[in-house]
Amino acid sequence: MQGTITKFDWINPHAYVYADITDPHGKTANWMLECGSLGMLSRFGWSPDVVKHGDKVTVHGYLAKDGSPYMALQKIDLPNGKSLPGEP
Amino acid sequence: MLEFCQWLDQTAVGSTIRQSLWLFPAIETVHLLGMAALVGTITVLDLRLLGWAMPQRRVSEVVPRLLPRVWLGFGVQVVTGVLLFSSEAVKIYGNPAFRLKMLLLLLAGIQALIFQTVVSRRLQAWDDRPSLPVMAKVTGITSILLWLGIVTAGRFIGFV
Repeated sequence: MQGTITKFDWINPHAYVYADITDPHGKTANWMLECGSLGMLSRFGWSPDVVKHGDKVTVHGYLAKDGSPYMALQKIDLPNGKSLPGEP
Repeated sequence: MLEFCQWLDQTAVGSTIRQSLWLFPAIETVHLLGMAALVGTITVLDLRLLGWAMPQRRVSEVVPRLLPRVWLGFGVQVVTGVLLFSSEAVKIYGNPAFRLKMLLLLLAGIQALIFQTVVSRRLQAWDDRPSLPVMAKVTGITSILLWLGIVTAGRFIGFV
């Protein structure tokens, strides 16, 4: 799914990316994308400013069973063409 | 209370732990070691009160030996616990497992106070009894159950 970054929380114990995303059914919402721990993410190549407000990204991950705008982020494709894993 | 959490969340200590790569897991490790020391020692004390551990040892000998270690462990838990809480105070504030843990801790605190003021004064008198009075057994079993609940609720903070 594609969307636009609204917020990035570089925090313990898990980091969160927030993005406005339109899902395949055409519904737009502010999604919460949960990542791994900061230590893990920095080994994957993340940093506190790896995503910024307004960045257009493509995200891949596991969706919440209850249909709420939540995803366990597996991979994020950044505007610079790089892809980073969000969880092991 | 929420205002306090917001303030704590914004302190230098809270935000440093929240954004550090290694501080959070390091403090969490010490919190777990402290838990082992604290709950382990309390359990030994409780089992003695119940008469299920070291029955041949006098209560008046066992309890004063264990209590300083209990307080040391408790001190480690308070310091590391407050540090961990400061890093996510607002997020954790409404967490039901966290609230349950704090409630059980309060009850355990009241129980410790009763133990210090009432029970520990009678230890000498119990030395010559073949079995400890009901008061000691009630203290032992309540304490074990409370700490079991505190540890379980603590573990569930990250999962509810």
